[in-house]
Amino acid sequence: MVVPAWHVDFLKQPLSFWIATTNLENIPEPAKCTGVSFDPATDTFTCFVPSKFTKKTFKDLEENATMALVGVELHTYEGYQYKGQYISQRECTREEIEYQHKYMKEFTDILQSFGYSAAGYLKAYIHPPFVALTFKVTQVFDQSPKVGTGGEIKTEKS
Amino acid sequence: MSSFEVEKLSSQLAETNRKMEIFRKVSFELNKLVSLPDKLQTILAILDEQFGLANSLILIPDHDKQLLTVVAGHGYDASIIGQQVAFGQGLIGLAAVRKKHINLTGIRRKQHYLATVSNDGDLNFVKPIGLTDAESQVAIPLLSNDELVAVLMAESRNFCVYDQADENFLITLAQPLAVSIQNSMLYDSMEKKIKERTAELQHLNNTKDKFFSIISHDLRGPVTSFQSLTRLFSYYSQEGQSDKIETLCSKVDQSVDNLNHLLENLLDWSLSQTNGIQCCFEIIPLREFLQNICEIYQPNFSSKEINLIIDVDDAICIRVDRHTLATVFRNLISNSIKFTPRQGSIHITAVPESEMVRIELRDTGVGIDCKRLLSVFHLQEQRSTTGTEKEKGTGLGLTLVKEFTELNDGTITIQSDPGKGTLVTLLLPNGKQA
Amino acid sequence: MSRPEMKLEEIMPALQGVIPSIVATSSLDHIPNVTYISQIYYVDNNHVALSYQFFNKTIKNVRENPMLVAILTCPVHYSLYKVTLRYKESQTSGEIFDNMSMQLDALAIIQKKEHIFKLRAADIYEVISIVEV
Repeated sequence: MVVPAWHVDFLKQPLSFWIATTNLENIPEPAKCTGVSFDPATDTFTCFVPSKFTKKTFKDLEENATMALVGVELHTYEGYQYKGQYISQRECTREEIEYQHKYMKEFTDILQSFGYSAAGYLKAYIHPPFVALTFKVTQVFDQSPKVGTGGEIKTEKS
Repeated sequence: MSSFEVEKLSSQLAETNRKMEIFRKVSFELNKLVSLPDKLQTILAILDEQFGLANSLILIPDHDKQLLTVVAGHGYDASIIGQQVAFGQGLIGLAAVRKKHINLTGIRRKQHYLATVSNDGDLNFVKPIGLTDAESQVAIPLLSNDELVAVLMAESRNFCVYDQADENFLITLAQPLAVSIQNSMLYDSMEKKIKERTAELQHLNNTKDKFFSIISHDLRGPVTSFQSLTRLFSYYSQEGQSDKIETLCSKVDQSVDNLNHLLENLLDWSLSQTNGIQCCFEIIPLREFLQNICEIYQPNFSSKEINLIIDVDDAICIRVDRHTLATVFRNLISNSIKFTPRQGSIHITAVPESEMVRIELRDTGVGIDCKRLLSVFHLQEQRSTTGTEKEKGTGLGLTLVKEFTELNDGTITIQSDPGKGTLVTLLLPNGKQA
Repeated sequence: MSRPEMKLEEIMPALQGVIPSIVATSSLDHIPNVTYISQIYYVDNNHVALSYQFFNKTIKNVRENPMLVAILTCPVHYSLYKVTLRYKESQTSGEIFDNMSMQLDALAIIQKKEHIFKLRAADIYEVISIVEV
């Protein structure tokens, strides 16, 4: 397994998730996720992204299947970056859409506690329809802000 | 020109007009002849009205102490006036030291981020001056000729965001504000100097008035009396009344002594007022010193049959200026003689007390009532008083005594009750310790 | 659908650091990287600056591939702006560096952590495009 086992619980929190892709001209493209689902058995992530944000993302993935996902905890800034290979995309299921609403509610509640507008964030990020984008992790990096950050995290079996 | 462009130009014009109006209002306030804090309070109110700066402060620096003090505040408790920030501390202190404006927003999130990533354990939020939960702060140093005159700080609990034009406008406004503050401070400092000089001149004027008063009243008397005495001399001489001439001679002697004493006091006093006294400190044996002075007044002791006792150990010495201290004791002894009735007594004692010597001069005189006792050292409230046998004075004596005692690093106190005599206590530096 | 391109002065509120921005870069061998940044600083109408403190991979990427794409959020209207930047140079002195350093010092001093947080460099980027997402 590439992703450490203890990340499973970490990833269940309402973290801030963003993905990034890049084309062969090396122009990157970030996109906001409205939730993720992680399968530890296969080291695969399914990232839920509003379709509105994915135009260039999918163009990039057609040229270059490598992508990255970052998840950051809003209180402690603890964060990790998962890099891997894009597998597939599809429409979200109803359960997945419900999950995204639930996740975004928890996420924006935290932001509201910091003084930001939950309604503002929801307006910015919730744009149905949503797509589910799956990728397999090949590398994990520590993204927590500190001196020497960016180092690769390796498990015994990776 | 498209309607969009026309609208944009209209909006720019309106904005320019708004800023001109602010300038006009601020300039009007700056030119008012009111106290500086009032002026600054009004300006902060204008900035709230026009910019929405609901919480703002102006701080004035003390460069020597490296502190900034709040002189005007808007949107806070009155208790914020007088609060201080050190140079370099927080946003205000940093703006003061670097002489550059700073604009921060999202302060608490950023502070939280720094606290978390520094891995320091505690979230060490130091309570700043002003709002404890400010999300936005701007600090603008007010400079005049590159000298820091004041710091303007504004803050908000909201994520206030000023555009570049607003920020630049505030910085432009800072210029006339700085000049006005500087002028007000100069004006205040000059006012203060003028007051001090006026007080000094008043004091000198009072001294001069007293001087002329003494000359016109107290000295003219004895001089005029010489005229009468010479006529009496002439008369008694013609009449062959030599015994009366003898009596007159002793009266003349006494008058001359008094006059001498008065003139010496006057000279000493005028020198002390113009800082002309030069002290030369030496160690002198006290008993011998007192005996020498009392000898001058032997005729006075004898004529009033006053018993003088000097109870001072030979070993006691004091460290003083001989001339000024002689004036002190001459005045004290002559006062005691003046106000002690016939066959009374004057007792002088001295006891060393560590670094000082306590000298007590006790008489069986008429005493001083408590009302007069309160003002006995104050020149302005002095009126000359006559003694038990009509001896004259100028009222300068005790004022001089106090001044000269203090010049010798000593202290003087007087205790007295009408009809029960007077006790004068002097503490003077002990000569043995030197 | 994106609006037509915008100017930097139109998105000034988003450059105040109220809401952190996301930045994405790419290595020369086409591996993307994405991370948060506390603030993107306005320099002039055609340039912004990023502070260089921790982001090792981001810095490494832009040194070999100068393109960086940031997503900024306006704290007033919560609009999202995609800003494409090209790395120009790194400054360790000068007015931009001093201003950024002073902002960091102002925050660190409040926390008495000025000995920990020091700006290492200000990376200057040219603005290529801004679109509202």
